[in-house]
Amino acid sequence: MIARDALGVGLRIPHYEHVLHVKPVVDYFELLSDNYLRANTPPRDYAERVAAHYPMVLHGVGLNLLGHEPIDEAYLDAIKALADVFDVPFVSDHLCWSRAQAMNHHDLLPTPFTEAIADYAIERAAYVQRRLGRPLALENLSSYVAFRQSTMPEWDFYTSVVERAGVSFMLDINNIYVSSRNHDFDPRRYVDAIDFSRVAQTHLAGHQVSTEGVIVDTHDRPVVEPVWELYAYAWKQGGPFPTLLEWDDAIPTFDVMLAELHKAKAVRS
Amino acid sequence: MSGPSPRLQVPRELSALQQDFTTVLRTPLDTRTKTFLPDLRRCPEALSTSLVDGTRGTGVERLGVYQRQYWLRLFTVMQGELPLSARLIGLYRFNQLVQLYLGDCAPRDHDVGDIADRFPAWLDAHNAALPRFEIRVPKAALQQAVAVDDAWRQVWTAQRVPSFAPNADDAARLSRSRLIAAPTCRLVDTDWPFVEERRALMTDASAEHITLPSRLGRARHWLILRTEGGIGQLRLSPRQSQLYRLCTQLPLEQAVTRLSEQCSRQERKDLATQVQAWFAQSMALGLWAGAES
Repeated sequence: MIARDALGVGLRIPHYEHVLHVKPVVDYFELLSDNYLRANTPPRDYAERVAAHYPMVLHGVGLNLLGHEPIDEAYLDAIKALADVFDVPFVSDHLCWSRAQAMNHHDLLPTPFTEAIADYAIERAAYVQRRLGRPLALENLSSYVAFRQSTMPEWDFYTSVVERAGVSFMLDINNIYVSSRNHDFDPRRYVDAIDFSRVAQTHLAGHQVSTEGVIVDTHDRPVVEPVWELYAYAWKQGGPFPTLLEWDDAIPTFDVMLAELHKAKAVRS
Repeated sequence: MSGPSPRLQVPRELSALQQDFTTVLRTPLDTRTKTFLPDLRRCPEALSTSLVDGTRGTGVERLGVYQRQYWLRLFTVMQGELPLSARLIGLYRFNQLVQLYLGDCAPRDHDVGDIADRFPAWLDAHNAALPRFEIRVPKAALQQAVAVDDAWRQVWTAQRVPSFAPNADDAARLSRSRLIAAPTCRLVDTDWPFVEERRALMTDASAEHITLPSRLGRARHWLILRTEGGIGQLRLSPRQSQLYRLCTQLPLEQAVTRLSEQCSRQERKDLATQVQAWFAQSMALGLWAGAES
């Protein structure tokens, strides 16, 4: 069980030993599902040991919900089995595509926002949730391109898919900010569109500016002030909700991550 | 019940978009300026005209963010999977090699770490014909460094299986059986002190170039194995290593005979005692997963 105001951290390899020995005060951990699919391997062993002390949730990158390929049933089997092992309250992945032509791009890729693609996503998301037998939460992307074919703003597309599929929001506050800067919209309009009773979790992370001037979701540094401000706004609009800090590159010590996460408490008040 | 998997008509614009996007992502980065830059010259027109220009660059320029991110992510993963090889030839040259490799062997699996699986075989097949990218390390040295890195990663990622504990029936058949090595153990032979170098990297995550060490006067033989504490390395005598390899290729009795035939008269004197000790050690280390007749 995860409290509605819980603060969590994405579990990363450099922190395994620290977490197991120190048992820091964290409400829960999130596993990147795709890295833990194989049983009897060191990552899985560590995760199971951590799970003996903390609630866990699963966050995937391989669902390929908006891909043109059929849903990968073997992958769903593996995710379902993993969810059973860790008895997670929900499973999350992204509203995006990541595979095409039998290749895995290991990236979270955008599509136009159209009715036809929303309908396609709704059907598939509802199916995945039924198949997993647990709540599915979909994360909003950070994106660097926009398409002329789009017939609605991203938040309409996102809320339409989540609400009509009967799934939950995995609302990434940093991603809203990144996309708002890249596509020149007001991030508060995005937050305003969210039904917070459907928010399973929020994510926070750092980003940087690319050489092209585009803001890129890098997860390699602290959360910037405008993202904290947007988080505060979201909290005011719809808190409490579980909040998780992601840090995937240039990973600092666990204590640094924890200090960053705890800024959320100050921001909320 | 979850009901049947959706067999929806895929929106046509989705299939076309993903095909074109994939073409862009899979185009190797441009290295003409000795750095990795997006190459959007092959961007399909349908895709480029569908993108909205913004205040921070044109749509096509922004597509370059995805292309560069795609390759840099894969470079970083490969550097992490094969750190000795990467630092031995330098990250820039390693990345060039990886770009060629992944051009041939596109990522297909869910775990991004698996992209390195086919690299050793690819390098073996292509090493002679590869453009050299000013790689100053001998080809044989690079292949051995890759083999050491690969042993490390295979031992780490392998699924643990129960160690072989022969019962009475197994013991009776053992002499006619070939042993199956545990997936968490690998034998490697080196003509350069690469296992020692690789071990040093466990506490050195920098990107610093590693100078090729002097070639050893005599090859070294190692058992790389997963232990409770991480990755262990055990130096083996040449004959011990040879015995373990033979045991995976031949029935046990034949393996010992073959080893004996290759030993000098002096070595043969106490070979029987040594073979017993080596077997006992291999069992204690969990080197075997089973036996097959």
